[in-house]
Amino acid sequence: MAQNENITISAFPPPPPFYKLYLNYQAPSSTSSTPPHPSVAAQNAKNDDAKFSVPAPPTRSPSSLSVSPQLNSAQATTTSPTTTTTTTTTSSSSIQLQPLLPPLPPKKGSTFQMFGQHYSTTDVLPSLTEMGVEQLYPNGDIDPIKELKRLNRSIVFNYLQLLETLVENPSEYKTKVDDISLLFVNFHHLLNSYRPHQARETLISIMTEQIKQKRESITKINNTINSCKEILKKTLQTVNTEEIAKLKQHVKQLQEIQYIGSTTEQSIIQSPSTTPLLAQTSPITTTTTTTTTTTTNATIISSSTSTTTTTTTSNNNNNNDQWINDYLQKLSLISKN
Amino acid sequence: MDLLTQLQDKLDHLFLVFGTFIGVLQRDAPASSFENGLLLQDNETLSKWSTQTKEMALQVIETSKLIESIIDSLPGFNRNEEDQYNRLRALNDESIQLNQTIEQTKKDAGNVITSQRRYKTDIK
Repeated sequence: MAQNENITISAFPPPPPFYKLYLNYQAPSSTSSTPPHPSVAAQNAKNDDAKFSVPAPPTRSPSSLSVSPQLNSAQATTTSPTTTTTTTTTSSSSIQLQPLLPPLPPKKGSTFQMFGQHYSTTDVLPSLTEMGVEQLYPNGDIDPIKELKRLNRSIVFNYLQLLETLVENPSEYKTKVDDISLLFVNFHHLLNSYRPHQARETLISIMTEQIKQKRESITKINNTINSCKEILKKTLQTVNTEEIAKLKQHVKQLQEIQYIGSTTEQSIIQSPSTTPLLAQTSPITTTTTTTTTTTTNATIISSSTSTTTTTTTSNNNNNNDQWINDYLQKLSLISKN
Repeated sequence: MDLLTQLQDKLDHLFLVFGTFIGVLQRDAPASSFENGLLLQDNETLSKWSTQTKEMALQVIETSKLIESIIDSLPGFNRNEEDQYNRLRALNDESIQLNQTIEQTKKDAGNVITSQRRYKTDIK
């Protein structure tokens, strides 16, 4: 590994500098064989990493660490035998890096290094003249399809000429081979110069397809919402009308029962037998709910007794009234919504 | 695979075909007399050789025709760079608007679901 200017030539990239933060790290010293004290290691790390001054990882005790991410702040740190230390530099050019965060992307127009190779952020295809190759197609606005076809036919024609040269004058094959190579280089360069165009066209087609899919999903969702709303409206209407009709029917029946109950009270007080009116109520009771059926049954039973009839019918009537009131309240809530 | 890559691959194949066929011609061509140029092989060998050369020539021509057909099918050359960037900006704006519409539609769907749940509890 070359040690001049800290450049290492290796197939693999060097590790990121913040590995020195971690516990029990001891920087290897070039002068001594024994590893240095952690404070010395920290100082070496500080000197080596002038560009990156990193705060301490969260696993260490706060008293021994400087965790301020601000620039131009210098905090003295205490050392311990088991922990290494970090310090923040006062350099205005220092870049603060949190551990395990990726580095900032390179600025536009700058260069970066990857696996020992230097790359530029501005990716420009060099022209053929810059590469020292003769350009066979014109510069500026050209019809690329026409030029590509022209080059293709020239290639096949030059191949035939090469075959004729090999038959007639084989020693002069090199010029024809160079001509064919030049044609191929021009063909490839023209295709490569249309890669950015292709990338933009691909992006346009992708975005068009995405917009189409978004529109379709919007229409589907809207259709589903509308159908849901219609179904809800229909169900609410049917529920309300049915409930109201039932309630009205119940109310009628209960009113009749109450009337009957009041008449039976009077009849019980007067005489124990009151069958005709109760016989009329029986077909109605069969069609009502269980509560009304039980109350009517209670009233029928009450008609056969003498002393407990009146209190039983009055209790049942009170329960019926409360039920009606509760039901009316629920229905009003539904109708409001 | 995109069309430009296919075109480049076919071009490389054409170059390979050129070199291969020249090598085959040099290696397998039948011997001929220096005096009057007559071929010294029998008719069967000559017929096989002529068939082989025809096939090689056909392969060169087919590859060249395929390259031309791919060139004809290259899309989007009717737009220059500025047109493409304008189209991309318009598509980007449209996409942002549609995203907002989708968000609003999702909210509406959420409202319908919550109202449905409310109706259900009220009916119960």
